[in-house]
Amino acid sequence: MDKKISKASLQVKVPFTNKTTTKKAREGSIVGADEGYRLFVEGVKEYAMIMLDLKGYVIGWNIGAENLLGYKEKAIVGKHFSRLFTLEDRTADKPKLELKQALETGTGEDENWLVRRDKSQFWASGMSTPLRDKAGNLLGYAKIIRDLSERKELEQQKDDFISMASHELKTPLTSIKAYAQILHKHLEQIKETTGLSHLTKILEQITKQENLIRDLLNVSKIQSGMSDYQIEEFNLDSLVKTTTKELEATAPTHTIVVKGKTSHKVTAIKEHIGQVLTNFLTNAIKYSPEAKKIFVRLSEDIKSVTVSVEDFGMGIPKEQKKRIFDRFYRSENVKTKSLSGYGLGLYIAAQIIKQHGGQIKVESVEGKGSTFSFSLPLAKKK
Amino acid sequence: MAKKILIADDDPSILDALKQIFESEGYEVETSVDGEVIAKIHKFRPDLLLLDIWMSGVDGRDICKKLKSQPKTQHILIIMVSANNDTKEIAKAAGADDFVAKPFEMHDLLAKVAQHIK
Repeated sequence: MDKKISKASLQVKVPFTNKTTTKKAREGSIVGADEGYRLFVEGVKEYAMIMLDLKGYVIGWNIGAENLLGYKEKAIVGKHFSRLFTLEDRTADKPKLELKQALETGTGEDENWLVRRDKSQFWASGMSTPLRDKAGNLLGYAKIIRDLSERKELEQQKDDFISMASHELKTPLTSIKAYAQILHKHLEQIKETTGLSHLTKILEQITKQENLIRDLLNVSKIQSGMSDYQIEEFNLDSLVKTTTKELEATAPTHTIVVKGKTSHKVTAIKEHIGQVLTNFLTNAIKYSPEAKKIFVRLSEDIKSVTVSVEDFGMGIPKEQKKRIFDRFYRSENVKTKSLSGYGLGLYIAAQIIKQHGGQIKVESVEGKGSTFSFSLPLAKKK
Repeated sequence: MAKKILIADDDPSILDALKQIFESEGYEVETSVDGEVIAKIHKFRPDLLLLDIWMSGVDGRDICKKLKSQPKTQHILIIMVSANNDTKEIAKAAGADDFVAKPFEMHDLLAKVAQHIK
């Protein structure tokens, strides 16, 4: 945008008061915008609205930007917008990449740390859009920034709380389990069969509780992108094979039939993908108590590998399908049949698949059964 | 002679249960509930230490590092125990010989201890 910036006065008619105020247009204000539009942009206090030229130099700066970032318009106009980024992001060339992304896709959206004039940092959500004239020539970019520190802090507090609660819940469970195991051993020695059968049930419930706590902790971990495991390249077929074998051993009521195979590997956290598969399979077993078979299908195309798990159980009502991957959501028909669960499994599965750049889907007919599937991008050829 | 195990945890009921488990397997067991682990180590001279990571007021990682850095105590096998999900990484970083996550399976715990102490 190499046009000379007008320094002309701006006549602003203030409604209701019937007074006319004169305001000198500031250097670097938005070129070509009419008064109403200019007022709108300059008056927005909650959002920083910034205009950049082709190379990323600031040419427009509203009151919201002044509030959020601490620079007066005069102090920042003519400076490169990369100074708003952290040193780490600048080193990684993030400012340039953001504009490149905006240019290529029409809009560049991200969340990152930004730096105020006083060097303090805040967690921001930003959106960059390329600005073009009628002929389609690129004039520069508009960037809108919102302060998300409060939300970020709340999320952190929530994650800390879940981690702490999981830890504290596990401690008494450790003693309960240890004593139950001591008792089990003792009852085995004296061959007390009635007591043993009761105790086996107690131990089963302890395991359920353990899994619940583990899942709660997993939610907070997976959301924050932390993992105890490493990304690796592997073939889904073998993971499907071992997982189905494990589950068949615990569910003698169902036969799991694996069909198809894949030849390409995926790059993923194997343990997490195994967790998704286990979740699909345990759901399939749990929600098809009358059925005997479950089908697992493996397929691939040029871009991805897909695994689907089909059951012939109660299915999911059409209107509830959309929400099935939501946190703590449980379908009405499973609630009324009083099947246990707490609505975290599929939510975690969806989060895991999303983090791997894959897709998770469900197809279902109420009363007939459901097919859950996930696809993962193929590992890049070396 | 019976192999000696020292168990350090700030939860008395866990200490009691673990003491019973290991004694029934023929180990000689001492426990430490208040974080006075180092003093107990010198007195009891255990072959293996089961060390909780988060004890009120004491950090199991510091104890582990200290024991592994001193010639007199570095031979003592240390298995870190925690309800924290990062137990594996924490144990590795502190220089422990192994780790066990809480809640544990009795068989796994006994097998792990036996494997190190033999």
